[in-house]
Amino acid sequence: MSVNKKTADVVSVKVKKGEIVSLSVIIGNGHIGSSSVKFRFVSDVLGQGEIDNLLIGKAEDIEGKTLRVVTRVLQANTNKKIILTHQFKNAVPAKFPYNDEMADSHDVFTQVADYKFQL
Amino acid sequence: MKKNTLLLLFCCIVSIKVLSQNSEFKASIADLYIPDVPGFILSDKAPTAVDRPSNPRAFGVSLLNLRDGGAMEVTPFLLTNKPTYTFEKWLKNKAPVLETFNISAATFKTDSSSNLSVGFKTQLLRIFSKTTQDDILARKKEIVQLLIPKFGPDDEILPLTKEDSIEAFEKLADIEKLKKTGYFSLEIAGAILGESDNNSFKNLSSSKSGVWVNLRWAPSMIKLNFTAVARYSWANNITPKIGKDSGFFDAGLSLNYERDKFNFSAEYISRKDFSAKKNYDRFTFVSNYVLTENIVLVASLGKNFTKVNNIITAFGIKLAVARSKLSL
Repeated sequence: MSVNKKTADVVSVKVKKGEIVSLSVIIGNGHIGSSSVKFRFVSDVLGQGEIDNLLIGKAEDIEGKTLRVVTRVLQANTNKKIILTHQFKNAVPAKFPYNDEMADSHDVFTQVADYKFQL
Repeated sequence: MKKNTLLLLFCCIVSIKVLSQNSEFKASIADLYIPDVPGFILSDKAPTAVDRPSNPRAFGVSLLNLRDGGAMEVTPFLLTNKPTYTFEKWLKNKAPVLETFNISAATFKTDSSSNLSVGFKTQLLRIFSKTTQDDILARKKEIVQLLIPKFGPDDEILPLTKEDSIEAFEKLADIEKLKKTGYFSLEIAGAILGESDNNSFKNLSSSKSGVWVNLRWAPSMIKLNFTAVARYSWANNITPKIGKDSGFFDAGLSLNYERDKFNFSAEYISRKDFSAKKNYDRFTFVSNYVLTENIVLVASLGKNFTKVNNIITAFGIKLAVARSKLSL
């Protein structure tokens, strides 16, 4: 078993004042995944496990903060391709797809992504 | 050791000639199952290397390679990513026709002919019982908990521990086992073999064709499973011979029951051989009981319904000692 880890560059995400931002993590290709979501250098974790419409915060409260989303994927069928999507509500861009391919069926794939919110 | 020897001697003494089989018809249910790669079956070839392209580009290359001889199998659904196809959608999908549609092809040349064999298979229906679905989702939930990424004191991501990883893969193995119980499925497959009498694939004509249908039911409440299979195979443009080259229709039913130390299988197959203008029927029953780690008690019972064999020679009971379980 090996763990493949990919870290994406910090991405700027625009949010509108007064709107509430939420996040969903979708694991595609029929695989199984689990995530942890937190602001960088803050000990509290906002959400973990399956992330579905997780409340991130009001736009003005999260402005300037960097959200870290870590997702682990386990290959649950014969398809070695991995596709996962971090999908925001009330943020632009809203969709961030990540894909990779497992070298071995007993691998675990980890995607690390940082999003910096800007008004 | 002494106990084993005595038992073996006993079996040799009491064993009766078992199940006189018609040499023209030895098919079992396992032979009638949809083959993994239908495209290779009709050609009676077992390719040593099979291309299994995982993306559209590799698929194109595999197709080009087929012209020079080779074999390929592909599930088109898996060639591209499906971002919204979640584990739950897979589990609740009752008609995974596209998802499981698989194409296989093989080409080969002999001194006097060129051959192209193409086949497909797919699942028309696959319905998991409510109990199985709940059990699978419960295991999935446990895997999700085990995979949760954790953070260290300096905000670093902690690696997945070996223990959690092993446990997650054990749960995944449980899901694989659960997939084999509490479901109903209907699969179909077909294959055609084309042959030309020269060194080119341009003037191919169909020489053999076959279609398969499998229906399986494995209730989750009891450890029984039922299988119904049918196969129709026919030869075109060649003089058929009795046996594998002839045109025939097979239909069979099997019943399997399995507990920790005991299992039994019963199957009935009927074959209509169009070339020989004959009908064959076969019934067999096999049961295993694990006495100790190395000793398995086996009882088999069978009957052929042909006109040649009378009922006395066709019936038999066998007791045997084996290091592993025997099955049909």
